[in-house]
This record gives sequence, structure tokens and C-alpha cells, in this order.
Amino acid sequence: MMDAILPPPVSPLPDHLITGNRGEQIACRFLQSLGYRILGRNLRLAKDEVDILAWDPADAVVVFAEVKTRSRMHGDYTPELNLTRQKRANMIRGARQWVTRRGWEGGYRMDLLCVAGGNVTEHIKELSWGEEQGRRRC
Amino acid sequence: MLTQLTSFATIGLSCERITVEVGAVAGEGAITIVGLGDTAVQESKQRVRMALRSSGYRYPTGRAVTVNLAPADIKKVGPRYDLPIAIGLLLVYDLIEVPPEKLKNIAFLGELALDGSLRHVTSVLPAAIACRKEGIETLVVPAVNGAEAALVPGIRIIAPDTLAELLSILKGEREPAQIAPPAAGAGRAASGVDFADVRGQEQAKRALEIAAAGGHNVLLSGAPGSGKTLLAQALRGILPPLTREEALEVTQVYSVANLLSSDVPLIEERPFRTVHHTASGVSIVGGGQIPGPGEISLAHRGVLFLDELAEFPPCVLEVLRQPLEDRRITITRAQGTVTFPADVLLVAAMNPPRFGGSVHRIKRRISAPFLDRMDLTIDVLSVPVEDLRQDRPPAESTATILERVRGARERQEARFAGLPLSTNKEMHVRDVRTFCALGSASESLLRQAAEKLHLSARGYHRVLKVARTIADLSGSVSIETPHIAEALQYRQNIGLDTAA
Repeated sequence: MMDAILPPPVSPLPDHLITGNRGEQIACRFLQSLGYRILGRNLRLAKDEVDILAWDPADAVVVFAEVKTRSRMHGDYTPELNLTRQKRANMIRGARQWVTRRGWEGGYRMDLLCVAGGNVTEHIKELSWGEEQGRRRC
Repeated sequence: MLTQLTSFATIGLSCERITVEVGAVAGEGAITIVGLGDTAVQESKQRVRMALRSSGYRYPTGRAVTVNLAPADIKKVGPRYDLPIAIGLLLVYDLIEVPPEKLKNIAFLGELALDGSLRHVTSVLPAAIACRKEGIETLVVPAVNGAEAALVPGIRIIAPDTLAELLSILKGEREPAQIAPPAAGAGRAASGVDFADVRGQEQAKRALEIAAAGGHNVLLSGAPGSGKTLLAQALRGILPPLTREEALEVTQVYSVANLLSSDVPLIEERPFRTVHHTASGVSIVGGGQIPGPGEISLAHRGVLFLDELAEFPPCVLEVLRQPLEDRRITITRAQGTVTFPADVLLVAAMNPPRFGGSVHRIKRRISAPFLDRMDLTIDVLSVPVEDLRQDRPPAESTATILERVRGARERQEARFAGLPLSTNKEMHVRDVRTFCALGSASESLLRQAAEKLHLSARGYHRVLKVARTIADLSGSVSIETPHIAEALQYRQNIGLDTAA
């Protein structure tokens, strides 16, 4: 499955993209260590993009993961601060797009993985849980 | 995967069986609660999810859960469905296994805290009664509600402290603790004022004794400082204790009103509710969007005390007229109609016109039909200073008067055996004819008085009922002329010409 991961992009890339790419690699390894299967990276879903598409065998669900990376650990300046409301809405929109186009009838969820200083510091599952029913059908 | 559990919703004092259906399909993780729940019901999903995690269960992701509270046309109120929803989720997620036939015989009520412990819920006693009526063997309630639920014999109560404790009981790993129904006399507090402490006022004391014996309404009229409030408080002590059935009735009202503490799960003392004259009509008779009991229902089988009667707005007093007559109150709202019991002994106190304002003003506030419902009207005179001297012998004590009141109540119960009556005030016109037969001398006295006092038909019957109580207090089988004469004496004019 690792074959599906894209080769490193051709340099020179801006620094923030290199950091992001490294972060995604670290996140992939983290998910694999938990027993997840990586199905794809940097997928385009219409207007939106998914950093990692994975399969969680424990709950039998497809996971759409967003990775937020900081190159260094810094007490108050955590990676999850970078997930804006807009980004979250886009993630959910992209995932639903994928589910609809594929006709996927199983479970799925959106996760956030935070990488700082070369380690996964946070794994937040089911970002869309607890949203109002009306707003979910966007 | 589907599962069904049983719970109860409260409508007035009665309970409706609610089926909590929980179903889960693979999809985007969420809980949707349908079935006309209020905000507390909707918020239940957040509490349940956190409580399951705190109780050591992994909450599976990627499941779209639908919780249906059926029947869907009954409004569901409050957090009491947390517990059945949590158990339902564990069942559909295959995290616990309970045989379906065992589940059919269990009803659940309880609010979950985020740490997985169970919190107090209201209306447990009505739910336990409904549980027995529906033939459900076991009722699960939070530990703090255990004693209240145990008041109903014939059903098994499980009252765990936490969700984890309940699950180990359901799995059969642990036996539930036996909950003993509360012992009689546990919740009885001593009344504050003894009649021995009230100096003078022999006539008022006698009237209160009659009121306590027959359940008649009392109007105390007197100068400021003459002891009206003190007398009303002393009345509390001479009321006979509640019977077991009455105590259960009163406790149900308090359970629905969420006024029951876990220390005193059974109300054994007759309620004494004092209402301030700024109270609204709804707060007295009950109401609200989802109708709840008011002061008159909270005073059921006890005393409703209206101090400064002449200061109450007329509309507030008028709403009392119908429940005083019917001894129950029916509240109608858009949501539906509920009936609460309202069998009260009304005690009102006021300053007479010469102290409390003009006759005209008071008459505008207190209507003639309201005054007509006052069986015993007493002019409380100021106590002569001579009577207040410390070396005077104390008056008759509460215990002595209570003994006589009990005797009179026993005579009433013996007379009304087999009838749906317990006190003289509950007699209908037909019962009055049966039980209040008069001799010719008494008959003519009452007729003359009725003409002179311009008694209404209701007033006439009320005099007869009071005379019956006076006869019961004196141990007489029939109503004699002195009893009628004394009863008429309490229809005295207090400065308001009520006949006009």
C-alpha cells in the first residue's frame, strides 16, 4: 500500500510545503503503527483535498485524515490551532463528496492528526460528531 | 442492529410508558434523537457519549445512531432518558449482552453525569406506580431515588450509583443491594408552635379545632398583632398524621414538582404552604407550558395559608374558588390537560376593615362567593394584657387538642366506612341529607338563621357540615340544637356585609 504514496515532490519547494509533507509521512507511520491501512495521500475530491485516506479495521471505517504540522514543539502554539472552521467544513464536504461518488455504504469519519517536533501529538477522531443535523447536509 | 428499552414519561401525576428504540447503521458518526424531546433530551447524546467513555467503554466511530422515543406524539421532558439511551447504545454496539426477554421486564430512569455516575431524577414514585400497573418487574433508578421507588411494593428496585455498577448487575456479576422502603416516622418534624403558648383566643382555638377535625376552611380576621399567624401555625400541630395512602398521594405531587429530597423520600407530615400575597394565579393553582403542580396541589391533604387575604389581587382569589369546591384542579394548556389533587384546608388571615382599609376596597378584593366558602369566620380579638402575664397557667396543649381531633376523625371514618369520603367537608348534598338529619327544634333554628343571615344554599349546607363536625367532637351521634347554634356563630359578620 505504501506504493500508493506519492514520491516526494520535486524541489525546490517552499519551506512550509516541505514541513507539511514531512508531517504527513510521520502521520502515516503513526496510523500504520495503530494497524490502519493507508489507502491514499493527497487526494483531490472536487474542490477539496484529503491529506491521508486510511482504513481503520477496529471500527471498520474509512478515515479521512487532515494533518497539521509544526516543525517544532511550542507550548501554546499547537498545530490544532491551524484547523479553522472553514477548513473543517471543507474536510467534511470533501469526505461526503467521496462517499457519495463511490456509493460507499460503510462507516466513515474525519480525523485530525497533529504533528509537532517530529511526533504525532494529537489524534482527534470524528470531527463531525455532535454537529447539528441540519448543518450536516451541506 | 436494533434494541428496545422501556422508560416512563410524566404527564401531570400519571405516567406514560415510553419505548426507547436505539438503532445503529454504518455511516457518519452521529446520534439523532427523535420523538418530541426537549433540549435536555437532545443534550443527552453528549452526556451519554462522555459517560460511556468514563465508564471504560470504547465508543465506536462511524456509526449513525438513531434513538426513537415512542410514542412520538408525547412530549418528552428532562434528562431521565440518559440511562436507557446509554444501555441501548451498549447493546447495539455489542459491548454488553443482556437477553431480550430479561430486558422486556426492566424499566430505566436516570440522568448520567459525565463521569458515569447517576443523578437524581423527578417523578420516580409515579413511575414506580405505573411500572407495577404495566406489569414490569424491575425498575432501575439512580441510587438517590432508590428509597422513593421502594415505596411501591411488588416491584424489584435496582438503584446503582454508577453506570458501571448497573452493567455488572445486568451481566449477573453482582447482586443488587436490597432497598428497604423508608421507615414510618422518619420524615416527621415537630411542629413549631404549641397551643399552650398561645394565650387567650379561646374562641379562635375552638374554631381551629373544628377546622382540623372536619377539614373546614377558616378565615381569621383580627387587628394587627392579635396572633392570627401564630394561630395558623399552631393549627399544623393538631392535624392528625397522614395515612399511608394519603402520604403516597402527597409524595407523588412533591416528586413531580421536584421538591423531594433523598433524605425524606416519603412525606408523612401534612404540608403547610404559606402563600405571599404577591403570588401569581398560576403559581397557586399550577400551570406552565408543561403543566406542573401549584401551591394548592403542594398543600394537598394539608393547609394552604393565605396571610393578608385582603392584599391578594381579586383574580388570584377567584381562581381558588373552583378547586376549593372540587378538591382537585384541572389545568388545560396547548400541550394537553392534566389534573392535580387539591384537597386543602384553607386558612386565610386578614385585618378587618377598621385596620385594613375601607369596607368597599376589601369587598372589591374578596368576593362574596369566596367568603361564602369560608366555613368558619372568626374575629380574633386583641388579647387583654392581663392574659399575657407570665404567671398565668398555660393554656390547653396541642397534644390534648390533637387527641380530641383524632377522636372526631375516627367517628367520621366509622360513619363513612365504604364511602369515598373521609371527612365531613367532603360530603356532597346527598350525603348531607343522609348524615346530617336534624330534629325539629334544630331545623327551625337553622331556618330562622338562614333567613336572617341570608345564607346561600351552599352556606346552608356548609353550616350543616360544620355542625356535624361539632357533634363529632362532642361525641354525639345526632346533631343537636347547640351544635347548630355554635356552627352558626362562626358565620359571623366581620365588618363586611357579605349577605348584600
